[in-house]
Amino acid sequence: MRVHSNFHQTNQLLQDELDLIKKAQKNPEQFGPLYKKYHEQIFRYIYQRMDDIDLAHDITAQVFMKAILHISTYEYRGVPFSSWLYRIAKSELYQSFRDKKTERTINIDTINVAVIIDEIESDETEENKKHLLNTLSLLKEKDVQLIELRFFEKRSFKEMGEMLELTENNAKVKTFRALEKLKTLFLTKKPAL
Amino acid sequence: MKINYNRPELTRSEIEKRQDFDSILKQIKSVKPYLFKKILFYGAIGLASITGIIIFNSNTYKTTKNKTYDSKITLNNTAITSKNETLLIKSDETVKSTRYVKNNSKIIKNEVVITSSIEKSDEIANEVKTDFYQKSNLPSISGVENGDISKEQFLNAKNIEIANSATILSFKVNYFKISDFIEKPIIGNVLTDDLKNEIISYHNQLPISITEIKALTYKDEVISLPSIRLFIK
Repeated sequence: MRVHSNFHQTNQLLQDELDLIKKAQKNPEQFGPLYKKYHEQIFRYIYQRMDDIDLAHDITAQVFMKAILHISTYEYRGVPFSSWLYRIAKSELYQSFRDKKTERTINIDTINVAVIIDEIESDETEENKKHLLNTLSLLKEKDVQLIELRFFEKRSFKEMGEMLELTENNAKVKTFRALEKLKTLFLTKKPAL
Repeated sequence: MKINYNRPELTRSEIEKRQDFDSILKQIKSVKPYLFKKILFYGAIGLASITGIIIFNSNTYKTTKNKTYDSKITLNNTAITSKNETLLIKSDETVKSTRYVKNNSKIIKNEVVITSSIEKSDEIANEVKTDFYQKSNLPSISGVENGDISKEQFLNAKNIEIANSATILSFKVNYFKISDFIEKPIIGNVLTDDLKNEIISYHNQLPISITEIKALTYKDEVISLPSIRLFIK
């Protein structure tokens, strides 16, 4: 599932967004346009990682509430406002996992399975597909996160870096390491025929 | 970790149906009185601190000014001059018992005989107080005077730490419990495990302040120390 990310915006769009942020910093009721713009993608980011639609909506609301309450502390760094929202979303999401309100879920579809099988240079057989799903659940959370962002959601390394508070290059390196781990697990844990 | 394969994707309109900016604003408005309270609280602390500093400074000024007198003295080859031309000089008879220190002052040796208005500063009485405001003597929790503190550091703290052989007599801990603002006065200098655990559970990323810290110095003076403001990470 590709998210409808608004990360690659023009300078003009970023400036327009900054004007909206400044208005919202003066008056929280002016946050409305930012809420409309980013609600869907923040919700999808959250729901992609869990299996409870109502809780996903609640967490999304919580993310925007926190964003409005703390917007005065927001500092523009030349990247879309969504990066900041994603960081809040990530924090809220993982808090709900820690509180055991919901279970961490990997949502994957046929296309993504094909993409990953291609990345780990394997054949797209039914057996391999099943094995890949099992292998994904063996990965550490931080590696799953990178694979989801890059291969399922098709995000750029720059955006991933902003979301995970890494440099673009670091995000790239860590993603390829995560993929290597997946590949190794896939090959070593493969059931014998 | 649970795996869902080919879960039906939600449409944009299904998601948009659940957008409710007004209810978020309503929730924020219910939280805002507490924020207002918080602003008032920190404003009051700030104002009290400024007032305290002004009173403290004016007392120091009075102790020097009231003891100013004119005389002509010859110092043993020592004069103290300052950039703002205010002379602060040791008089012969008090050289051993009184210290004279002032910002922008420098000591010139082997020079002059000075005739001037002499400010005799009996600064030692205030030395204890000023010492406490030096950075190394600020009160702290696990070595953190202000700013970020880890959960572990906070939980490991037994009390407020202070150098200079002073004893903390009392203080107040201010924090948020869900959306309630709690102000807990503590007599003595113990941070109980119950209190720390409650703060850790409910701080909700809002700062914790330790205010109205009273301490007894080795001169048997009761003084107020600057507040500690912590962000538990």
